[in-house]
Amino acid sequence: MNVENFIGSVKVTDNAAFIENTEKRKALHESLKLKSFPKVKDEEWRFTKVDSIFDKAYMIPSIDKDFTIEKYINAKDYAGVVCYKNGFVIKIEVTDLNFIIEPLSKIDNSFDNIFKTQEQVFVELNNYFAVGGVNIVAKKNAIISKPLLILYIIDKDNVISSPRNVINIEGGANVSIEEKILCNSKIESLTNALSYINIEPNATLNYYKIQTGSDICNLFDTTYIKQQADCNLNIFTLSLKGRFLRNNLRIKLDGNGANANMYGLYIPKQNEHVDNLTYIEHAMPNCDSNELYKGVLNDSSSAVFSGKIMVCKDAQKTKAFQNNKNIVLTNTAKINTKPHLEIYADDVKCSHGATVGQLDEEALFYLRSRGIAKDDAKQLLINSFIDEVVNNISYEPIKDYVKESISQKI
Amino acid sequence: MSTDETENILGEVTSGGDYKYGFVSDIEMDYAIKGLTEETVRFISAKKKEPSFMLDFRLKAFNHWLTLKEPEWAHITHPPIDYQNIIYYAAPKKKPQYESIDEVDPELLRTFDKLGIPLNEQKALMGFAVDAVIDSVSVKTTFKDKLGELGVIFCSFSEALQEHPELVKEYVGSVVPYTDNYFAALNSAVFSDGSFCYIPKGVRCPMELSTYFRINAANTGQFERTLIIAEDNSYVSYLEGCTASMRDENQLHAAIVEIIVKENSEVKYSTVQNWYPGNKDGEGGIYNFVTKRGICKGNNSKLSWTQVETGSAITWKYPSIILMGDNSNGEFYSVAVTNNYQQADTGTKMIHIGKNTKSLIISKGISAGKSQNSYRGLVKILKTAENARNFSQCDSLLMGDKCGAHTFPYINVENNSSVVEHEATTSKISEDQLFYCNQRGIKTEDAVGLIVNGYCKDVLNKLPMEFAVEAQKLLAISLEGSVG
Amino acid sequence: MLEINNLRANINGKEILKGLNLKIKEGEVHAIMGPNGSGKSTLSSVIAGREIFEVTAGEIIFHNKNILNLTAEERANEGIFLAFQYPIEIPGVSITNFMRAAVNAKRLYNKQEALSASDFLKLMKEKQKLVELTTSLVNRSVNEGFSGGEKKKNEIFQMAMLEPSLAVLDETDSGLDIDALRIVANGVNKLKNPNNSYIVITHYQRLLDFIVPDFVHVLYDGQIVKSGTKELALELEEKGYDWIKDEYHNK
Repeated sequence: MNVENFIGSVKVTDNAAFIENTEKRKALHESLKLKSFPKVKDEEWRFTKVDSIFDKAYMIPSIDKDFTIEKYINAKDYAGVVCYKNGFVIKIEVTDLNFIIEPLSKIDNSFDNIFKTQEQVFVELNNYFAVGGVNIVAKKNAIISKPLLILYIIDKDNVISSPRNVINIEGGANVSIEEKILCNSKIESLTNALSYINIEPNATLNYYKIQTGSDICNLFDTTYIKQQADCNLNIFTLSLKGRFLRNNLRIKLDGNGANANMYGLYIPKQNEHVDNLTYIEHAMPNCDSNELYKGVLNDSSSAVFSGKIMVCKDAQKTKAFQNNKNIVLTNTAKINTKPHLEIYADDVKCSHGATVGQLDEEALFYLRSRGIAKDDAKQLLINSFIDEVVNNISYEPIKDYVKESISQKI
Repeated sequence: MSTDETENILGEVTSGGDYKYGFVSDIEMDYAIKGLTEETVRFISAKKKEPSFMLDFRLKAFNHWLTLKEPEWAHITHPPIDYQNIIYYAAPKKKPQYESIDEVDPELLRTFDKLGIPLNEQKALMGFAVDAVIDSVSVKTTFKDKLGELGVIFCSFSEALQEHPELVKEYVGSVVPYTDNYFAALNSAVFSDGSFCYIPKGVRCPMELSTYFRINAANTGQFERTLIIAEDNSYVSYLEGCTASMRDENQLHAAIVEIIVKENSEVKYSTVQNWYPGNKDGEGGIYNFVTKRGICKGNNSKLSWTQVETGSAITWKYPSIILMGDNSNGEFYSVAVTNNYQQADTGTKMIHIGKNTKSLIISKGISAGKSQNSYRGLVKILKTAENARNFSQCDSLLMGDKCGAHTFPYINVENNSSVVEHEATTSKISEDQLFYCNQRGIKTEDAVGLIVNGYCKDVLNKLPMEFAVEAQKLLAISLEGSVG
Repeated sequence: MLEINNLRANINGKEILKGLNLKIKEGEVHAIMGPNGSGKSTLSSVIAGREIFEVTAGEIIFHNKNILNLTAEERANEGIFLAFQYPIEIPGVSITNFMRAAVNAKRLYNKQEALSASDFLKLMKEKQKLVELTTSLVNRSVNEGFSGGEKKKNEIFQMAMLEPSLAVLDETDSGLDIDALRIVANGVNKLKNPNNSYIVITHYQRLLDFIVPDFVHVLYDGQIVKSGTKELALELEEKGYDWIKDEYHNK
């Protein structure tokens, strides 16, 4: 299906709901007409086909504010909550006033130029269809221990939702944000989320993406992050459930001494497909990046990891490490991994590694010889494999939740 | 090999810093008309009095080539190549078959002498059988008789077409079909000559077989084709060396190498590629767009590629192995050096099909000057390749802050009994290492040579002795002036 | 043979050596001790010609020649050897190849012919025995995967090969157990003769039981603040450095 037909096929209940005005949407429509959905010929989409996702008819419902937060979370665990329902922002609640959150009234495209990408069509589709978005600011020097929650709820069939978050972490602030997607398991949906994050000098952001979709939900998640001098980022992309998940995570280390840690976990089962694209650009000297993505593949699932480290010409004294490790449990699962390095500076220390393997038979035997049942022993080994990622989560309630979700699934 | 001879070879490769193979020999040549049409293809085929199957193959390839576009995915840039401005066939005019060394054009002999290629019988006693290809045509194959006694066929591709057409017909294009890629199609249409090697069942080829390629004439492309067949229980070690005249314009080299390894057999293929890299400002030099692929067809077969790439303005080359037989084994050892404005995009593909197949990849890239050096590799484990194993180590060494080093591995696994490991590092020669050497009295330039050779040791060790020595010297020459 | 006068040196704009004076004659062993950060390792690096240090004043006269304008390799070939505190690994380069390059560089510098392969190997064997270095080590890459003790033994072996007239041992004793220490010290003592001199930089008096110094100097705040004989080392071991610091600051 081409993009124009796809746009035409989306049923809109309320034409006044869009963030963007008619004129801007018209221009977007013109631009989208010329675009096409990515094909496997495109380097960044070699192992992920999107055709079947866009062949379906989606709809944008009208706003429905009916919502009981307690059904999903314990609000006391958070410094604030932003809740999207079927793409509409239906609730903004802030308990720690160092967070300032406002609904988006227009779309700021200033971030789009940082990364020229193959997911431009998804960015524009998000702009075109967005009915809800928020602007989040963490105030200067604010130190907030509880995370802010951004919740995506999908509860209507065939919904296309396009949430949009613009986040600015001001200088010296130290905050955490948790982003969670929840959908009813009988509901087919498409979420095309977009987040722009700017981290000012000397700030720290812990960002947790917890993707617990349904067996028939599809998610494209695009996150662009700009890091200024001496700031820190710890970002977790935890793909726990969802028929189709594609994460585009692009980070630009745009200030001296910035530091990024990227962790990822995917545990697909049945026919689930998880595709993680990460791109980290070292644009300035003395920056460190460290990336660890791990996957456990079961049944007929498939996963893709495409990591690229780009070290630009002036980014001397760069340290960049990337590692992707996979365990394949069945003969029908498929994994593709592309750990790529592109380096134009000479005073650098970079390394990457990728492994694909199975559970260690000897370790398994060792455990069994100590009387542990085979399945339990397997579980133990898988958990210890996964823990290398999960144990980096510094906020205990999130760590517990993630561990619980993992053990339910595996 | 005696010490004297070793020193001769050493002298040959160490006597100067600049590209010393860049002289132009004045040899009378026979040219095809410039440009590429069906007529050119027919001309070449007729010139070589080829059997009709070969002409059919060429024409099919040519028609397919017309439908293709030059690939753009590699990490290289170059001005568009005008395929109509290339001479597709250039051969020394004198009849290139000789009964004895005395009949060879003396100018040609001098050319090979300068290159240090042992064409005359005395040097051939060093234990190499040599096939020398100048511009488009194989001019001399030594040791043919001795090999003949064992049933080993080692001759030029043209000769093989005349004398063993059934073998050529069976295997040509079986590993690299003309549909494979743009340059493979081009080569299949216009290839002029190359080497052919057949090792019969149960024969261990007693000497290293080697081919030297040289581009001499201006405005010509070189399109040679090598075909190696190792029947069951056989073994051969094969060497390939390349040089070219210094010319201001870029010249195209689009070769194909096909290797078929049958049950319990082993083929080692080593290359020292030293095509003219262009001058310090990036002018001239060879575009080296080569398709090399082997198939481990039989069970327990083994193929290894070892390459030292120091030359060419642009290298685009991925010696690959299809591991089809159970327990078959593929190895790839590579050193790629780029300096000045050179660009290299090179690596390997290991396609695991058979059970218990193993592959090993050791790649060492060194970039200096304003060059760009990329490793690109694919490890693919198909569902049928139970218990397959791969280990890859791809290291890059950077010298200077204007060059680039890139690593693009692809790993593709479709079963759950295989183990694939990939490791890569990028670093520079540390100040501490240089100072340590300096403090022991070693000059920085020598220290760099020492450190680089150490860094490449795992690959250099895989080369036959004579080649290893030559390769070490080449590394030093290629990197001259890059630190300091 | 060595005379250091009013030596001042910076790194990244920070002054480390602040007017250091030291005189060493043929055949003497000088120990230099001092608290952490006093400039001991800087002194060894500056003598060897490490370029990250900037010499702002003073001179280093070695065999009647100011060597400050010489490169590190020229100083090495003049006969200065530095046994590194942390010898660096050079992967893939065998000790044999490394030493062959170094020995021949020195011979070339002195307008001698390069050693033939067999003479060189003979020399290696002989020196290996002297410093009790096993052959298996010599075939390995320079310092790669060596234990701390092996690295230090390798430094002494290289010293034996290059026969310097001045050797600077920079905390050669750090990280060594007593057996390794004895082997290293024995090596040094065997190489000692009336024509060569040693600067032994150390934290501990322990090493000086094995390599007996003619003089002991205390380096503090970039200067030599106290000199004495080997008894000074014992006194330092017993009383620490505080009394020296007090003496210096009260001046």
